[in-house]
Order: sequence, then C-alpha cells, then structure tokens
Amino acid sequence: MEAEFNLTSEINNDCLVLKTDGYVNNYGGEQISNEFNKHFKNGIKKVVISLAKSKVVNSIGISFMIEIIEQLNEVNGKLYFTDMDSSIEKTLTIMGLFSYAGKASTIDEAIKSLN
Amino acid sequence: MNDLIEKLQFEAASYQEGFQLLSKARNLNELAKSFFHIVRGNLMISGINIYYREKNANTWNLLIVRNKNLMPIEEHDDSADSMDSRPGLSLKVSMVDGSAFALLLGDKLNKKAYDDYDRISLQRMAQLLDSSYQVFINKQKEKELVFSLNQKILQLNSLVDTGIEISRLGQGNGILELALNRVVSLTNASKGSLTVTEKKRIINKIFFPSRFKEKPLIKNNEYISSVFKFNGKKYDFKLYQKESRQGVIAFDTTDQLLLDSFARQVNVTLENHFLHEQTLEKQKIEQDISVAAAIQKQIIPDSLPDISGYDIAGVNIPTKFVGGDYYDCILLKDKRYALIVADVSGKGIPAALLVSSLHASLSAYLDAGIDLISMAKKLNMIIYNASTIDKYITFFIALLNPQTGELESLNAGHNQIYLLKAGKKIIELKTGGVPFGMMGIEFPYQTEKNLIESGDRLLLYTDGVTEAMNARETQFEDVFPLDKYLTDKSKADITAKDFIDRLIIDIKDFTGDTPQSDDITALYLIRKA
Repeated sequence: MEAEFNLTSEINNDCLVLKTDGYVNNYGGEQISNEFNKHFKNGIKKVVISLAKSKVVNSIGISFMIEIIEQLNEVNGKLYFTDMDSSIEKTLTIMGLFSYAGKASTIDEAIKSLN
Repeated sequence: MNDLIEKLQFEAASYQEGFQLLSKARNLNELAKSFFHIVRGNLMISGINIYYREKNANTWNLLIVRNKNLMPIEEHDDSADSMDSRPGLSLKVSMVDGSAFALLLGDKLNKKAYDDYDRISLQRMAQLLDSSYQVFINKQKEKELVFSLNQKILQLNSLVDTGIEISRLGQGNGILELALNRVVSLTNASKGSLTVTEKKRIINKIFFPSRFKEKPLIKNNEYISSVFKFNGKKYDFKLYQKESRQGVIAFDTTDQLLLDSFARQVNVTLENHFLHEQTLEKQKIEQDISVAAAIQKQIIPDSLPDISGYDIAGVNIPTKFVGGDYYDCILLKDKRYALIVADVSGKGIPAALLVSSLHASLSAYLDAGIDLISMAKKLNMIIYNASTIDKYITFFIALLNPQTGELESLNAGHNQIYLLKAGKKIIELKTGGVPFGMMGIEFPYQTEKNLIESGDRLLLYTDGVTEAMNARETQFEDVFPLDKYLTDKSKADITAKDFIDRLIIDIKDFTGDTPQSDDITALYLIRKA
C-alpha cells in the first residue's frame, strides 16, 4: 500500500523538525510515527511537522499524529504544525488537533514558540 | 478484632482512592503502573510483574516488570491460563472485552507466606482492575466516537467547500483533480483515478496521488466507482484500497454515498459552466445581431423623398433584430424615382448580409443608369454567387416618371404588386422573372409599363403583410384580401401615411398577441388628383 511519500527530519534547537512530502495517509502517517518514536526514545519533547509539500491528508494519517500528540502530552512535550495549506489547516482544526497542538506559519516561528 | 476492622477500613479507603487513580489512566501502561502501586501498597510485596493479552491473541505483552526473578510468561505460553501452578501468588484476570491481565506477585516484604486474606484482597483488587479497565475501554470508545464524528463533520464540510471551490475553478482538469483528491482523502482510499471517455475512447485520465496500475486492484475488487455522463462524455471516478491502521478494508456505504456526491457536484459544475458558456455565446451573437441591425437600419430609409404631385409613405417592422425585408424610394439622375421592395428568404444576419449586398449593387447600377433587364440579370448573378443554395431574394422595382406618370416595372419572383386605378380597376404587376439568386443563369427578365394617373394608387409590400398570422393560424390575406382591402371605401380618400398606419393597426388587431412571424414591409404611393 505504499504511496509516493517522503519524509525528512532534522534536529534544530532541541526540536525535531519533520518535513513531509506527499499524501499523509496510512503509509505517510506510519513514517512520521516511526521517525518521531526514534527521537522520542532519545528524549525529544518538542516536535515540528512541516506540511509544506503535503496537500492532502486522510484520517488514518491524522490518527498517527494524534498519537504523537498524546505521547508528547505525557511528558509535557509539544507538537507544532507549520506551512499548512488552508484545506489541511481546516481538516486538522475540525479533527480537533489544535486543542492540544500548536500551529505556526513557518518552522522558525514554531521553534521560537517552543523555546 | 479491632486490627481487622482497621485493616478493612484502610483497604476500603485504599480501593476508593485506587479506583480514582486507575480511572485516570490514559493507556494500558498507565493503568498497569497504577495497579502495581495499589497492589504493592496493600499486600506489602517486593515486586510484581503485570502482563496483558488482547482478545483472541496468544501473545502476552509485558506491561510492568518489578521483579526480574519471577518466572516470565513467555510468548505463546499457555500455562498462563493455569497460573495456580506457579510459585508465590499469581492471578489471571479476564476483562469484559475478552482480553486478560496476568499478575505475578513476588515475595512479601516480611517474607511471610501469602495467606487466604491476601488472596481475597488480591481478588478484590482484580475486580477493581476490571472496573477500571471498563472505564478505560469506555474512554477509548468515546475517543473513537469523537474522532469518527469529527470525521463526519469534516466530510460534510469538505463536500460543501469542494462544491464552492470547483464552481469557481471553471472547466478543465482543475475541478476534476480537486474533486478526486478530496474524495480519496475523505474516504481514506489509498489512491484514486478518473477516466473520461468519449465514444469509448479515453480522452483524459487523472490519477491520485500518482499513476498506478488499476487492473490488479479491479481484479481483486478493491474499489468503488461512480459514473456520470455529460455532453457525450463519460466520467468514471474510481477509488481503490480503503485504508485502516490494520491494513486494507472494504469500502462501506458511506464511502459510496460520498463518492456519488462528489461525482454529482462535478456533474452539476460542468453543466453550469456549459450553460454559462452558452449564455455568453448567445450574448455575443446578440451583440453581433445588434451591430448588423444598426447596419440594416442605415439601409432602410428613415424618410422618403417628397415627390411633387404624389404622396408616399412606407413602413418596415422586422421580426428579429435584423430583418430580411428591404424597401426604398430613390431619386435617379434622370429625375425618375426607383420604388423598390425586396424580401430575402430567411432572417437574421445571413439575410441582412444579402440585403446589404443587394443594396450596394442596386445603388451602383441605378447610379450608372443601366436598364432594368440588364440590372436584373447582373443582380441575379451577384446574389447567386454571394449566397448559399437556400438563399434567394424576391424583388420588385418600378421606375416612375413623376411628370408623365409612366411606370416601368420588373417583378423578380415577388408577390404581385397592386396598382389601383382611380376607376377601381386593379392591375397586378407580375411581369419579371425568377427571384435573384435562385438560378445561376442569365435569366431572360422582362419589364412591363403602366401609367399612373391622378387618384391612382400603388401598393408595394412583402408577404409579411399578407401572411401575418393570428392565434388560429389564419393568414391576414384570408380575411382581408389585399385587392379588396385596397378598394375599401374607407381607404379611398386617406393619405399615404394614414393608409400605412391603418394597415399596420389592422394587422396588429388581426394577429392579437400572436408573435409576429415575418418582417412586415409596405410602400404606398398616391398620385394626387
């Protein structure tokens, strides 16, 4: 069930920055979750997900992101979403993600808010 | 005895607090961790291991390890179901949903053996775990319900938003791609396609998220589709492989309804754009017609010349913006007047173009002063060459010498023209030939000569007058034959203008609310007494 989805990650000012590229579905969500867990075990508590190159997300992809939010809440961590297409922002709003996660226009702005 | 009561009171308070603590658990690990603290506090034990097994699963997952010396429950260890055989204290607790916890307790801190009271206490705590687990499960279900409701809201919202967005995008791939992307994500399909065919030939194919092979998925029946036809084209939306966290599952009825709704939105949008374009095209045609009508207006005379000793009036009422009728009265270089009436087959711009050609050529020939027969031959060929096979012009021209009253006329396939002599005799002017443009040959046109004397009247008209129709589809001429109409006493002494006005009023009265079916043109000449 693989789709064309790419994920890159970097650590910037103690924040894990994940950049998605493509459809955030089951496959995409799993990639994000795996990458997050790798860093979460090492103590990362601040995460930024940039959706600049993702125009479509489904609810399976969203369920992975909710899990990340829950894991971060347990350790008083925080997740920020950035560079969102207006329809994706609306989708995440309706699904209730911004009750527990933050949003910012850019990665820099999100990192500034997290620190 | 007092010790036992105190102990029971302590346990009761401890259970109550324990239940509150366990009920706050957000996941199984938290639940197990809190339970571990409750058990250890109540039984004063050194260590405890807690395992969990999902419904119908064989594998036990280790949640809490606080005593590594305890015999582990290995994966697929069926002996976990008969834990009495284990040393120390152990218990398997079945949950309401078919899952189970396994508790392995280490030695007590005071190194004493577990007694019956400990076993009863552990049973009570297990009941506490069961109750808390039910709370935990209900919370999970509540979370899933909220998630599911949010998704329904999202689907409805997206359906409305997408409808608005695609209606703004216009035709083309934009709306098709947008609709496909949205419906793929909202149904949790992993991919989708749209095939547009015309006469069984694929003319457009769109994939999301990228091109993929459809045949294996169709063969495995891992898809749903929605098809509509519009404007000779078939639009086939297909969604493939519904995703879940556990893998591919079957699409449900809601998915099909959602896909049908998106397809219907695209269908309606395409129809709206088609109708909008048609309206624009119609507006453009109407603009062109208005321009042509303005040109036509220049050809039809605003006023007629004053002819000494004569009274003349005319009218032209086109059915559309541009008519196919033409009339005029032109003063020639030799002081004669040319009285003309013509009717082009058909209406609208093609008819107006022919009238325009006729007018230009006629003006040139009249100016050159050539005879009527030669002119008719030339005009016939010009119109023949300038028009399509179904277009022709019926034409009547009379050259009037106002001094002598001599009238030379040529009728090229037009209605008979009436010359009403003062003595009430009617002469029908019919001599001429075939309509212009009907035959591409040098037709032998002929003319006739008559004399207009004092009190004589001449009526030139088109068939829009005689064939004006009322609601019962009766023609004006059937009720008012023109020869009779002309000789009616009430029209004997009226002016040319009054005659024309009266004629138009009578036609309007006759036709009533029935829309005008043809151009109405008439030219009336009276030689004064």
